[in-house]
Amino acid sequence: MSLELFAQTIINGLFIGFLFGLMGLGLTVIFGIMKVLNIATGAMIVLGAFTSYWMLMLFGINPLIGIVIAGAFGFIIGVVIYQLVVRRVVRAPMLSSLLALFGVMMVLENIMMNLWGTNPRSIPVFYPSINIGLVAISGTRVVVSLLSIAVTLLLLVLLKYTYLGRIIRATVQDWKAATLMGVDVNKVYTIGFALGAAITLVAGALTAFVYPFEPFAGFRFTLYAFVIVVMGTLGNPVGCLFAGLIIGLVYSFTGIYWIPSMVPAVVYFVLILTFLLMPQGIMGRRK
Amino acid sequence: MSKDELLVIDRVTKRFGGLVAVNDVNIEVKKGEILGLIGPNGSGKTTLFNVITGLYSPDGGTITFKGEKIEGLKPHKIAQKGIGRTFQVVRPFGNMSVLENIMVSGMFCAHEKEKKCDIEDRCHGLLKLTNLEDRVNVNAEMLSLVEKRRLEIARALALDPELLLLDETMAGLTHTEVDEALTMIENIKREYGLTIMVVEHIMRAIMRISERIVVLNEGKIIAEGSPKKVANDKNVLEAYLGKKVV
Amino acid sequence: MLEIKSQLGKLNSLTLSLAFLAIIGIFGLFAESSYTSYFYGMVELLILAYSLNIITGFSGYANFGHVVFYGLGAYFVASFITLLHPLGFIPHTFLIVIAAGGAVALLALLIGVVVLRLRGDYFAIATLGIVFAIETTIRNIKWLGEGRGLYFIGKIPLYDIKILYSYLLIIAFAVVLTSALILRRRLGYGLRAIRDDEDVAEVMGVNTAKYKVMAYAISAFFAGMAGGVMALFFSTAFPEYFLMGRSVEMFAAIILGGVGTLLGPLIGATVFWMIKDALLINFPYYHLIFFGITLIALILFFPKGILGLLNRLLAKKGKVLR
Repeated sequence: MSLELFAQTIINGLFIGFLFGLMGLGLTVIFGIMKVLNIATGAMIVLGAFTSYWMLMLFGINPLIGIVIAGAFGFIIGVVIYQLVVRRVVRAPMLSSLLALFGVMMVLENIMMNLWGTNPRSIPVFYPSINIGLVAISGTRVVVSLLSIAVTLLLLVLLKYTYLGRIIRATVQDWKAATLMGVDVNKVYTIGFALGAAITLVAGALTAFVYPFEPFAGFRFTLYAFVIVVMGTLGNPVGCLFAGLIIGLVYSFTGIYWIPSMVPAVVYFVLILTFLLMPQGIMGRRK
Repeated sequence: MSKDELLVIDRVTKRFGGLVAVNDVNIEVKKGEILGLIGPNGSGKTTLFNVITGLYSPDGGTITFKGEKIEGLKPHKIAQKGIGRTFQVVRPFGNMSVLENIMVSGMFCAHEKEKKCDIEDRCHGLLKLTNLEDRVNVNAEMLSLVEKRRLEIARALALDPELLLLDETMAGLTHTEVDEALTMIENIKREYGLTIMVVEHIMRAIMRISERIVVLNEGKIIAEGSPKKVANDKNVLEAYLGKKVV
Repeated sequence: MLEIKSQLGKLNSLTLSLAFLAIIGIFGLFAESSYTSYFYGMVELLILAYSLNIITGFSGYANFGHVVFYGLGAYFVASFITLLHPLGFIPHTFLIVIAAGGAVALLALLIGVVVLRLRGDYFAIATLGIVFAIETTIRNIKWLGEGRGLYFIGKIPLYDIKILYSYLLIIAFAVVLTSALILRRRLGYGLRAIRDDEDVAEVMGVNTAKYKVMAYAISAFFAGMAGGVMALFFSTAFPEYFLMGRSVEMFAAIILGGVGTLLGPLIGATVFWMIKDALLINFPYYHLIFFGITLIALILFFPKGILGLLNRLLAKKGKVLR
């Protein structure tokens, strides 16, 4: 139980936490805007990873640019999924949208499987490690973290300072009033969903830097993203990053001090704890 | 507490964040009386009902029903002890039939040894009383507003309560419907020997039916007494109409 | 008059279901073994659909993790047999299956008390993760065979599928009867009230916490038994039992048939199984994609299922099939 190990664990946790935060961000955006839980998040993350992968393999495109392409692709996919499926379940009980998006998840995962098989892939990216004392910080993870933070800040800027951002915030507050003000709520939702999808695919492209991926590996990321949303970020992008850090630490500590493969179970435990400790709105009874 | 008093609300307070919805309220409801509860919108009437029936826990004070403290108890327990209520916005069990709606409270507040067929008979009796017999097997969501309101009353009565809380039962009804409702309530009270607390905005209804009225404003009681006394109370008029008008 | 019709309606549903089961039963038992396995799968899905219906259909709480009970049932059977074998005494396997079901139900009670505190939507999320969490945990437990599974080949005689099929039939009859019974009694009324408006149900005297947990445990009991029988077939329990896809199947089955009804799971499971088998044969690689699309289409266009469609037609005649 050395201090170095402890410090290293914390560092590892923090520098993966930002990525987790980004994973949760896409989900938060969609949930925040239209109260739909995108359970296909994990599948989209994998899709983002594959996008970046194929851009590199087929066209030799630098993975950093691959991230942008993944984002653009994600936006388009988001529009398609929204128009085909989500649009009809936006006002329905949450169960309907949950099931519908589960269907989307199945379709995405299995199309990927049929196209690309189940062998794990990864993107070979290497950045030199930074050494501070006896603790090493993986260069790759630093880059991923910085990019995650950058995307989050971009989103913040979008929401706060642009016209589109204002429209989105207005619609979230009161969609009926927004309609009366001339806002095409359908369009806002479409853009909102597409935005969330774009962010999710970007997170996927970044994930490819650090993890191997295959079509069915997405579900655990969905779980992580869910926990982050539930930790009461209430649509606050920066809150996502903080929640992500917590999950990152949980991830890291479980992996090093216990068994790595138990991480999903521990994260789930955290999810349940969060549910039980969060005040009204999530609990069953108002008291 | 005297034998007379069915429900005693003692210094009850309920806060929601910074807002004090119910502020140090004291009310004694005597057995067999019809007590009216009025006040401008947002004065805390429905919140008070929610506290009595257990949907909220009071932040201060106690509520005693038939000599027993009930604040903090779970709503279903309070219902089983004999307090029934209707809701401001009608909330029937939409996918269940009219009879099934009434059967729910009938079954869950049944007396010991009461068999299902007895409960059914009791519920049919209530259907008759509230004039819903011809809608027996219709899904509750298909009923008209006035029928839904009658269903709510029937459903509350199936609890076989001693205290009935009516929350704006007559909102949205026509003049004639209001009269019919008033007659029905008076019949019910007579036949079941109930004690009733009524929240209402329709002045002539509450004036006619209440024996005593309590007036709430911003969570506090500002007046209490017979309908006539309350109608002429300066504070009451001020609360409803504003200072300048008075 | 209308009363009698609706009573008859319920009776008819029950009789229909039981009759149908009897017919499938006879087919399955007297056909060739290869056909029996087709009916086996159908009856198994039927049991899972009915059991899911008890919690999700009746109370509206969407239990996405239902398959976890199935898998746990298998593991309990495997564990019981592994534990009892060295003692030399192994009771009749059907009793072991029932015991496993009971164990799963007990576990469900514990889980339910925690998880059912969450409001309907968040309950769905929580149950979604349960499967993953429990599967992960089992994969890390040495005694349970980790990723390989818990084998008990040789500790009990190998079973012919027809015998296991008869086990399933008994369980199927039981779950159908139980569902009918629940609908008629307090539990059913309470659950349906919870489904329509939980807060109001509380105020009308329904102890919502208690009844939700009861339904959850009962549903777990039957799902667990189905899993237990499956374990007997393979003489092993492995983590692959916890397939998320099966949860989806069950959901699709009850939605297809008509959620919360007595006949719904029957129609849904039967039709779904037939479609699934046809898809599997014709599109061995793409069938899951079609599943996904079917699920989406169901949700978007036929949320009330086949029974819902039928009812709309029958409504003109004033009848309602439940």
